[in-house]
Amino acid sequence: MIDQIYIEEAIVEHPRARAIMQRYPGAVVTECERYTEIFNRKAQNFRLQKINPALILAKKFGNHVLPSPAEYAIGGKQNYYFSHMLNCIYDCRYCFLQGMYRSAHYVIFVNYDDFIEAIIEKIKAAGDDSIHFFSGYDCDSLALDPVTDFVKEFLPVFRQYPQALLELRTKSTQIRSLLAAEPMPNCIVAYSFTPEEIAGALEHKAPPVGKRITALRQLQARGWQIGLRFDPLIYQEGAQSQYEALFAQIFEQIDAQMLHSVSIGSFRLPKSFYQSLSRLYPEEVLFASPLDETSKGMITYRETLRDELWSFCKNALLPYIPEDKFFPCESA
Amino acid sequence: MLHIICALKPEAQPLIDYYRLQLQPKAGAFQIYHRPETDSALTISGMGKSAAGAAVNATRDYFNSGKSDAWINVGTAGHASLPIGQAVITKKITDAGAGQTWFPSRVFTTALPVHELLTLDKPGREYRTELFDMEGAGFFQAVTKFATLELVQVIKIISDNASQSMDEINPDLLSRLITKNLPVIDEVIQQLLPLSKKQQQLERLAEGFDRIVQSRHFTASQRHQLKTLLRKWNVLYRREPLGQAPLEKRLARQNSATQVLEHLRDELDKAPVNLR
Repeated sequence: MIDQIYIEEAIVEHPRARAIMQRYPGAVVTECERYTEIFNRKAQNFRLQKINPALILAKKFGNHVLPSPAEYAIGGKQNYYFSHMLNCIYDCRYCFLQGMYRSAHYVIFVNYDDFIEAIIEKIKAAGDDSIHFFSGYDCDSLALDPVTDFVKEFLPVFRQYPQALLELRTKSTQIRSLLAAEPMPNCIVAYSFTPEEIAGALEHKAPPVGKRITALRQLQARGWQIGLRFDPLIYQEGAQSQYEALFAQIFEQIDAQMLHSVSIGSFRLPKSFYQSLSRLYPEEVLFASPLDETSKGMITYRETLRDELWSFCKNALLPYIPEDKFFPCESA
Repeated sequence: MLHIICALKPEAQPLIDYYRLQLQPKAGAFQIYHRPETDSALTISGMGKSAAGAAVNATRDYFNSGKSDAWINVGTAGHASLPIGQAVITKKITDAGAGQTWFPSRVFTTALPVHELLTLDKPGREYRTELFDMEGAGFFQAVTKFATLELVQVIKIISDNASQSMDEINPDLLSRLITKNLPVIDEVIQQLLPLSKKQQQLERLAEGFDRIVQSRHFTASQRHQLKTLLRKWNVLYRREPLGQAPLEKRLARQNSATQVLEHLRDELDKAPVNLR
């Protein structure tokens, strides 16, 4: 429950900011000039803030849409991401956001129109190239949807431009707005998974794996395109059999032929992010795992361990899906 | 550890009595009170933001304070309309002279009213919608240079307002205002302390380090590696906490730093990874 809201003075009267604030009538509201005064402060402790994060309402200036790394592509020639929100209501221990940001507060940029304008510009400039947009890099696309109205505001844009594809990346079961809307072929709802045993240890506050699969099934039954993201692959004793069981559990309940895409990626973090995370959570087994630094400056599992888990998962997935739907993300 | 900073002795005295703090001899320019059993201390800063900042720095130096210590400024403030004796927690602190602003980061819930605070260079008589005092900004600016933001709070008790001016403030009134609010001040302190203790525990995960480096020569780089390896060792072998016999015994035959590091690496390679 949000009990503290920071808001930039310039957007106090913005209709979306007002609508969001109305949802939290008991919250203490503090005005600031720029959200960075709160979000980028020194001496903040991400872990402590995660106990009771505040909401920050802000306006984003520039860089509304940014190129996404090529290795994250799922078939598009041009790939972009945009973040109407920074940070996530879940608390997944492997998440790079904990290393990237100093603050655990949730930032919502209320000027959706500027994001939409930038998206349309990119679509028009892409011409005949296939163009994909990813919305779940810096936040979970759906987790705060009842508050942000993200789906309601952004889906109509992509309905107008069927040549552009939108990926909603999520672990959330907040799918009411999607179930109520008419499905569209150029929007993928992609769910992230780790096996139950790993999710239980690392994906704090996220919906259980079984509930995510139920949401997937409902969305697929409604006609939405769905995707599966096994990224990051996490190692522990028995990980291979745990992943095997997870794949069986998922493919037992969804129609694999109707899947849009499946991707896998090793657990990896830029070295500086890893250092921040292991300082924040020194007691976390994940950060005491057998990790090495790669030539690209990423921290990931020791090569043999990483390759073993990767190959195992790839080989365990391919019997379920056509190879052209498989997108390995190799960025370590 | 908890540090309380108060401007004046009459404000501090009820807290000194409540927490049974003892005046520390040879504490330098400031009166510092301490009770080792409860890991709490109080420093009397004197009036003004410079004095508050200097008291924070002196307290830090005296106790060699780290990032896991909790800090709280308890004092009195004026406000246009809040009733005398009302305790308030601050959400935004502005240094009226310098125009600088800070936002305290509160991660616990509180029933106390939450207000903005303006720190003036001189006593003010112009009552406004913000609280005003003379120390808050000095305290906050100094303490957040080294402490953890979430472990720092400022609590003010209303001592004067538009209908009861500051002329009526006297030492006895200040003590009574603090005494009346001891339960709510303590409530905030009791919320901060577990956070501080948890952070302290996390910093201690490389315990055993001192004993290992005492008997062998480690270079700076090797010391860093040792800390990292000890932390991982402790995490993966949870049932054998550092500092107890098993690790010390294992390392008894490793006479050099290189041997210790190699031995720990070997042990870590064999450790099972169980995330739960």
